[in-house]
Amino acid sequence: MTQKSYLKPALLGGVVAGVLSWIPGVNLLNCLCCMWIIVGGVLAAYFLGEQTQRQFTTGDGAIVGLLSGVFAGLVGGLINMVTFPFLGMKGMAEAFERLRQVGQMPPEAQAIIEKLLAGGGAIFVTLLVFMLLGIIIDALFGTIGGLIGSMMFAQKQERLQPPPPMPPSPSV
Amino acid sequence: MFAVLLLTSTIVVTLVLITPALAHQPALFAASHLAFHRVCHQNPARTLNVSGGLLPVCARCTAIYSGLAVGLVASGLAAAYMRRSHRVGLRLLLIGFLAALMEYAFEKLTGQPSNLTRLIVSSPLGLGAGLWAGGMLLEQPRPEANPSVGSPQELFFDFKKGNIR
Repeated sequence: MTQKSYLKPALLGGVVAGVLSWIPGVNLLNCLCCMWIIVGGVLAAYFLGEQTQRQFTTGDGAIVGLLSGVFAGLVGGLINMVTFPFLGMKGMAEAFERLRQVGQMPPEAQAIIEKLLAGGGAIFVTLLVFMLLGIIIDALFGTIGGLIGSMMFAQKQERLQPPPPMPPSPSV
Repeated sequence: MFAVLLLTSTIVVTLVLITPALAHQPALFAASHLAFHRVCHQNPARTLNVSGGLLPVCARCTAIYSGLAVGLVASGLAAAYMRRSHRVGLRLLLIGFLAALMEYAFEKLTGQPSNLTRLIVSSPLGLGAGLWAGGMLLEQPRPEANPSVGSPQELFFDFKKGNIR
C-alpha cells in the first residue's frame, strides 16, 4: 500500500476528531478516554477499508489512526490559533482559574500566565507548544482508534487467502 | 508502529508527571495544562497532587495513561518471550471497564471515593489497552522475516501453534 492511500482517510478522520474536540459541550466527551480522538482513528480505518475493499492489515489501521491523530492535533491547534484573537483562550482561562482557586500556582507563574491570557508574552510559543503536545496525545489515541477500526473493518486474514487451485479437470 | 506507540505513550506519561515541576516555565506549564484540557475535565478534587503540584489530568486519566505505557512494555516483553498478550489485554480491558463503571456507580451512590481508589480501579483499563494494542501490533504475520516459511497465513499459524502460547 502506498503512502498516498493513507492520507485521505487519515485527513477525514483527523478533521472530524479535531473539530468535534473543539466544539464547546461536544468536546466534553473527550473526557471519556479521549473518545473523539479514538472515533477519528476508527473513522480513518473505516475510510481506509472503503478505499481498499477491506483489504488492509492491523499495521495499516494503526498507521492511518496515527496520522488521523496527527491531523486532529493540527486541526485543534490551528483552530485555537485562528480563534484566539476573537475568543481568547477560554479553555486555558478555565484551567488556570481552577488551579488558582486551589492555590496550586506559583505567584511568578500566575503573573506570566495572566499576561499570556491577555494575549501578551509568549502566547504564540505557548500555542505552538500546545499544538505539538496535542499532536502527541492525539497520535497516541488515534493509533488505538485505528487498531480498533482495523478489528472492526479489516477483512479477517484467513479470508484474504486466495482460493485453493482447482484440481485439473480430467481430459475427455 | 509499536515503537511509535510506545514512544508517544512514554512522552505523554512523562509530560503528565513532570508538569507540576514546570511551574517555573510558564509557557510550557500553560501549554501542558491546555493540551490536556482537551482530553480531561481537570477537576482539582479528582486530581493527584505530586510533589506539591497538581497533575494536568485527573487520577483516572493518570492511571489509564500510565497503565497504557506499562501494558505496551509488558506486551513487548511478552512478545520477546513468545507469549501472546492481546487476548489477555482484551480481557483485562473488559474487567477494567466493568470495574470503572462499578466504581462510578458506587461513587454516585455513596459520595466521593478517594483518588487512590480511582487510580487503582482505572489501572487495568490502561494496562489492558496497552497489552491489547501492543499484542495486536507485535503478533501480526510478518512474511518477509523468514521467506522460507511460505505464505503469511502459514507463518501466522505456525507462530501460533509452535511458539506462541
